[in-house]
Amino acid sequence: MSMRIRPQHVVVLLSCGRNPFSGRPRCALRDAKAIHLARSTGLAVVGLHAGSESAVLQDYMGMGLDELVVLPMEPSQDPAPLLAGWLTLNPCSLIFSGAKAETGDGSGIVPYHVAHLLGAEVVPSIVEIHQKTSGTSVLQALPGGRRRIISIEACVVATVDSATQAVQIARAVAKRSETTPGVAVVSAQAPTLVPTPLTITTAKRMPKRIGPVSLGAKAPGQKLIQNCSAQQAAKEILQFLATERLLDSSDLANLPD
Amino acid sequence: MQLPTDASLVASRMLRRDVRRERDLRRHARESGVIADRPAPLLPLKPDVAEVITVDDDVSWCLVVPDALGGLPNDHDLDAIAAARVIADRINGGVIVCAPAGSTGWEWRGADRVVFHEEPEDSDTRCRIDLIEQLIEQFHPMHVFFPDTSTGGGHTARRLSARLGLQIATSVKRIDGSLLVRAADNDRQDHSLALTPIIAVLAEVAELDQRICRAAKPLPYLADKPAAGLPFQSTTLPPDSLTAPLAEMDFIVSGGAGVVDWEALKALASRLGAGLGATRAVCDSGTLARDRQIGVSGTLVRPRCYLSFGISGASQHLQGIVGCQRVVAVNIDLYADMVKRADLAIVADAQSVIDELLSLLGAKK
Repeated sequence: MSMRIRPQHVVVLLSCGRNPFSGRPRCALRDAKAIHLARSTGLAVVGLHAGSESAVLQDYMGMGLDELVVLPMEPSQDPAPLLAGWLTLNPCSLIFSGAKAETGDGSGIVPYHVAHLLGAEVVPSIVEIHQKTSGTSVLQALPGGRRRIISIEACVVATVDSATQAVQIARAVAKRSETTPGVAVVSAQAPTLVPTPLTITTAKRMPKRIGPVSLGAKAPGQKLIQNCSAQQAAKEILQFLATERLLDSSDLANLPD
Repeated sequence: MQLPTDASLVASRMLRRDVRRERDLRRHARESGVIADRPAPLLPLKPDVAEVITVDDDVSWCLVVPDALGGLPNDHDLDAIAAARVIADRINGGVIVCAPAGSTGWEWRGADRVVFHEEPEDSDTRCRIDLIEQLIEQFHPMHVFFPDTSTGGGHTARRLSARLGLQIATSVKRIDGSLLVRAADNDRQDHSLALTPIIAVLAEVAELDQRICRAAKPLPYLADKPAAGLPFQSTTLPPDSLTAPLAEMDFIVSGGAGVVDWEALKALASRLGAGLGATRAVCDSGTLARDRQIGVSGTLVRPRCYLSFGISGASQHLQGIVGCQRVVAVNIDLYADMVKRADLAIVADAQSVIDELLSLLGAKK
């Protein structure tokens, strides 16, 4: 059975997640956020999953997917060539994906590998997407709260990290919907990019460099200034910010002695 | 059996235990131990006489590509260099750091060689990929290290891995002898791996000894092709003080009941490029939106610096800023908890200090 032909659609790569507390399978949070962004384009949204059928995939359907294609795959197999094979047969301009999976290696390499095999670019951590007649633009989250607007002209794989909201699941829709089995042709032998682990152990918590600062405790090496004028206080603050390198170079030059 | 004769000893044994005092003493001991681990200032401490460690040109190399946002390495970048140092020291090799042009201080940051590169303003990691490929051809490093950040090193590392078909270890949280330990399965498992050509490390993977001076010799790097930026048009927007999510911010200015003129504080926050936060009371009164609230029932923040005005420091608020590296507090009350917590505490009227800062910085209200 092949996919129904759509005039224009976007694809979301989906994986199965796991609840961090109960350990039960669930929709992967980042993938759910990717669906939210995909839906905001207003185009038909096709989900794509490589692996076996599971009840979790039905939940994704309840998030408003128009179709969910499942490519059968062995658990040990690398999903990237398979996904890329299907996407070559069913081309689209926008591919969404969670930044990394919640189970398994979670290396986040799959979107990059797929993009490479398709000859596409990856735009990481996007938070908004605007579809206009003139073209598509995405908003990317950069560190420190900065944002970047990117206007997209070619096929891209956009990955979604934490900075967006997820979609609720419409249970009734999820229950009555069905997935579509898909067929992909893997043409070339792609290299395995993630090495198999030598040993697997339960995660050991590492002590953090900044320990918890308990309430009411005095900070060591504190500088306390009393009985000073507002101007002195302001100068002290600017001096402190300068040593912490939080001031622009132009501000540093104008800094009073 | 000899009975105690000293009356005071008998009396002391009969005294009740002061449980509260014992608990306070225990807590004090614990706290002083924990707080002593806080990080040293970002600028390295330089001893007067330095012994410079040098390595030959024909050793095996580890290449490090720090994000160096704004031309300066952050803690995560230094951790990536530290990880490279661990591996380089094991194989008696050296570390090459790929640094932005004009940056200094690499001899104190574990670099044996430095490659300075020009980076266009508003660039994507794409231009770094070309550079790294050329460096790999030129120096044949054994491993390339990146800080695993979503739009910086982690992005470059994964792109490079896919492009060159090289194996990659991501989310490396520890280096165990000659094995890498990767956080996997949503941080539930530790995977140990053999060393891979490309290594993307998490923050705090290793710690750099910034008291050691190395040669940091600048290497000639011949750019045979111009660096190509992002293939798409892009514009970078500075953080907006009032809308940028507080959890992402690097620098936060916040105010409490001691602030009178909120427009002035907003102006100060945007002038400093910081996010604006507030206490619960301020958000309850409707002065600022709920997403600006810092504390247990608001946002838990972890900026590099937290500048607070007129906040006394309710325990719920202090719990919200537990992850802050540096805290500056301006408060009229010397005995406020916020003043105790601060690295720089100023006992003064918050509003007048805000106005003074604005006039010093020359911001337009």
